[in-house]
Amino acid sequence: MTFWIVLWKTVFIISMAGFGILSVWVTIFGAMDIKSMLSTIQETHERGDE
Amino acid sequence: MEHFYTIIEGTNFTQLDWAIVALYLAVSVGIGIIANRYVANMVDFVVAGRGVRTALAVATLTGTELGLVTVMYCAQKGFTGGFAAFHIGIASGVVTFFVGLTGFIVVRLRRCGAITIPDYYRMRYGKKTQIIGGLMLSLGGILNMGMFLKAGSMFIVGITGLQSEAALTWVMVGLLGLVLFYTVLGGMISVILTDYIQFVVLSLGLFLATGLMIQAIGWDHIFEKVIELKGEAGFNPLMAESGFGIDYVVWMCFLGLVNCALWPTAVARALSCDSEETVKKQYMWSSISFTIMFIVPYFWGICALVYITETPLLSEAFFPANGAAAIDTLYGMPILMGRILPAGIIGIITASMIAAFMSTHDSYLLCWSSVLTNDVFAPILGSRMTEKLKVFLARILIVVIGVIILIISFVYPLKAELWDYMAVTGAIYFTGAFALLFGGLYWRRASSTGAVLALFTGGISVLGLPAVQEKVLYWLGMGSEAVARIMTVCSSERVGLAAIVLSLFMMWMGSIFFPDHKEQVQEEM
Repeated sequence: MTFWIVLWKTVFIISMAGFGILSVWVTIFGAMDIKSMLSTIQETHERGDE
Repeated sequence: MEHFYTIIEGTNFTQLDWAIVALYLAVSVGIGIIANRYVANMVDFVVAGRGVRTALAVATLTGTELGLVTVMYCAQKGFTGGFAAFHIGIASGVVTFFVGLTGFIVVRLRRCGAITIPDYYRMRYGKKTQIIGGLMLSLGGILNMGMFLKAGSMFIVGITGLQSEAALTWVMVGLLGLVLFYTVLGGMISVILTDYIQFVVLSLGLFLATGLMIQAIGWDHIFEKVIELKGEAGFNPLMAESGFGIDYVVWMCFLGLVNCALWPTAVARALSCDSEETVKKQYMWSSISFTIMFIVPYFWGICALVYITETPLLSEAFFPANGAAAIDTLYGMPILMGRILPAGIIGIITASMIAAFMSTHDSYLLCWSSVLTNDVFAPILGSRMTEKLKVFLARILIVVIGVIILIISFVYPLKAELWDYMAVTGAIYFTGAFALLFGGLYWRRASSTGAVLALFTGGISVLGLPAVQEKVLYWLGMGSEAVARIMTVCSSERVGLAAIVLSLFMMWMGSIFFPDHKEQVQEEM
């Protein structure tokens, strides 16, 4: 049983740490991506491509 | 019922928390109005003009798949299964990383330029398969979504302590109305924008709630109590006593693949990306979210179990000794949150959970409505279906599906655990879809006859639902002893695994004995 307890404790801590890093990265770069996505859509409409 | 109100009125939810929730809801509605300006055609409405980059793609994939319903059913699984349930999160994360690394299914799907999965069926197998596939997908998807609304609303009632018999109904109607409003207006653009905000709020909520629970109950004490209550079965998923076992673990690995590479809402995110490289990166990064979205709510459910068993009033309500009706285990986690989180923080957590609720609902509504529009009505109506009509019809269908799920929430009595209900209803679609996508993308000889046979065979997964299984067996004239015996052997995971194998077999057999002629498929397209 010790193996399982250690495994789940490790999995939990590593996953939380990984998600912490991911959250910061997505928060910062996601905002930039939104700007880029909206300008791409607007440019496409102006060109009348689609 | 009065006993239930006594239990939930112990919440710390205050006016300040209501204000935080209202502010968040107002922002979501505002986004729908802004996004509406950018929708000019079906490509904008369904795949946001295919202009989504990596970080935003990760936010939207996580926002979609980490719904309040996910949090609720996972917390319930953690409550009943303990730490042994963690294996589901590991399976999900590892499989998602594998899909990102190899591009399995999703990259090839994006390469062919399809905007939905049945759209790919049309390209590969012809129009007939597209229509049948679209209908099967919508049926499985809408049934699957049927319990979302109720589970989400149970969370709101549990955490806020609303004291009225009609509270659950009003919460369901109110939340659904809001989601319908901004999804109908802005389509995928609005969904992606709200997904981003929801990701940010949700991440904050996840960390705050987890930290406060550990502080309130104690890290080591949580493990000690699970050992005391469940022994090794609370940690080892391979033990039959854990309620999981080897069959279940294998089934969960397949569900991990389904969740990220076959489930239409997840695939829609891959199809919205600006390049194949972005698709791969999106999946590799999202493997962290796909682990967390299971593990954190399991942990919350485990904390709820520990807290409830140590609080006499709650323990008596959840585990009554005198044979009285117990409170639904789904209420465990929200009741815990309502009692241990302080005012102000509880509002942020509730807003983050409502964020999770809305981000899943909007994506699912959009997905099923676009499938019905694009893959069922458009092929039938042909050239009469203009771009403008498509967007209009998709918007109408969003509302119609919303009404259907509201009705399901009222009429379907949830007997099994929520997670198992969702796995089985989803399987109606994905067991067949796996054979069609895998066969179509990786096997040149896959034919339209094999595809149709595989799709219908996938439908037998519905027999995994205990309520359906029971009715069918009695209808076949079996006695109650035989019914009980068969239902023990034919567990939902075994029925699901059998349906996958059978669908693959039917795809193979149909393709070998009834191959397509090139001209036949081109004519049907």
